Amino acid sequence: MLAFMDSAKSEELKNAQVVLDKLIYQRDAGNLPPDRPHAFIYFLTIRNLSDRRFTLLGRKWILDYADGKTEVIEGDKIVGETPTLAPGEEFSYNSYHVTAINTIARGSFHGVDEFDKLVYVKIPPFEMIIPENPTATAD
Amino acid sequence: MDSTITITANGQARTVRVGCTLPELLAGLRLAPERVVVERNGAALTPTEARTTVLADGDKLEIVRLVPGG
Repeated sequence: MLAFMDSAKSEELKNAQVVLDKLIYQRDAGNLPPDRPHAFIYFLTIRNLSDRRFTLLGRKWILDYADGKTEVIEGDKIVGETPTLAPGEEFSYNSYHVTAINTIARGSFHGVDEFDKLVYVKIPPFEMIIPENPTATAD
Repeated sequence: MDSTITITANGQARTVRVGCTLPELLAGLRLAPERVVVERNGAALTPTEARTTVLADGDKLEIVRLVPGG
């Protein structure tokens, strides 16, 4: 686990918000691994509705697969960036998950606030449901 | 007959020649087709559709780069 992701030492920023703006399904996009041909491109906005500035240093995703398995993915930065959000500011980006089966994604963004305290913002769960006709696309 | 049409890509109006394909547009934008997903008039195109789409006047495209690490 990355040091700044220790939730036991970190405070949840309840006044920060993560919103799923859009979800695009795509089969066989790009150079996807053959065993995970279904891509879900998500568009997220992180809003700082708190009264303090914070900088996000990384992300943690928890993927709950329909077969009962769970995968945890952690990484430095967010699409290569470490966004700093003053009160009232927001950061939007898009990235993607790949899967073989229906999946629920949830997680958190982790960083430090202006007082150098470890903080995190929860990512609310969203479903990635593979369309019945996988050649079609879904929004 | 006009030899050009106007499409909108990521909110920006662009004039292209009649018969211009999506791969040609992406090449002109220096975007690798395998690194993007394209929504055409609100619907995401499959890779096969993206390879064969001929643009039409008034098309609204959203070209989304596949960005890992988020």
